Amino acid sequence: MIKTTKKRFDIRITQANSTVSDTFELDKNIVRILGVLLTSDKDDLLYYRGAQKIEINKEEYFPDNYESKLLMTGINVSPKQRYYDLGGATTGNGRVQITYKDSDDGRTVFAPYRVSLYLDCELEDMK
Amino acid sequence: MMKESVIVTKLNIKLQGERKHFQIKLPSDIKSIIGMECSVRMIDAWPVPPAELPREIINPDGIVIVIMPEDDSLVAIKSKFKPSQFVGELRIQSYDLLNWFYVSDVFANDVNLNLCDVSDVFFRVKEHSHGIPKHEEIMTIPGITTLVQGWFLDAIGKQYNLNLRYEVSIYVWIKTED
Repeated sequence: MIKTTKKRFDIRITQANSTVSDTFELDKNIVRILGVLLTSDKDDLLYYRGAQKIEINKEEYFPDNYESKLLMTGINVSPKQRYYDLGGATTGNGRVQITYKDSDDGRTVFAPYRVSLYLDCELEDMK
Repeated sequence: MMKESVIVTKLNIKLQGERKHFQIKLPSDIKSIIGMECSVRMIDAWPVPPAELPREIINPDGIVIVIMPEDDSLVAIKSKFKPSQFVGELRIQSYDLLNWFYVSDVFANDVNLNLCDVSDVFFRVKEHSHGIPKHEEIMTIPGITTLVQGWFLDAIGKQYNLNLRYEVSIYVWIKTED
């Protein structure tokens, strides 16, 4: 039986103008990723300063310098429509890599912040 | 199998009225361009437009009440509308038959997100908290050219008479054969 589940992975940005890379491993029974979403504990910093590369199963879905604001949504969007539709990316080895880059922006002052990557996943229920 | 991907190109603008020409290289297995998107990141401090003055109301008993522009719910909606910050003009040309296929005014942000939002007094409406998802402008530009070119013309620096440094990101969505 196919079910959907949401996964969250966090990275911390502690220095201005730095690049942080991390790889996360999905559960073995997750077969497809339907959508992605980015949020933060300081939304304004993520919105104005962030850019990232996202790879799933070593395949690049968003290239270097793809701005975080393009993967964010606000509270004016219905919860069912918040994820960026990937059209069902196959997970393969189950590894998701994010390479996040923080850059100065004239509208913000840096403070350490968290970036959360949410994945809308489809899993095969073994029961 | 067809595959969609995006190519990101960044332009650094430094001078007022600067026109920056650029070329974007596309992969050789391209089938078509399917979308365009652009955005702006300010490197210098964001220029502040002149502030709106508070409005004064004199009550029949002679008391003067000062209403700040952001709290002025009595002002008609249309007079609260403000133009978004115009940053510059972008044009992109293909070497194929379609020639100039993308012309766009680039805006910094949507300053009218709070229009008609009654919650704005308690939860200030900002792009990063109330914005809608951003999506590319969908188009179909067939052809096998592996190069597009264009230019970006600065407007914000010219408006404020300043050499503002900022970065314009151009996203070209393409379809290729996997």
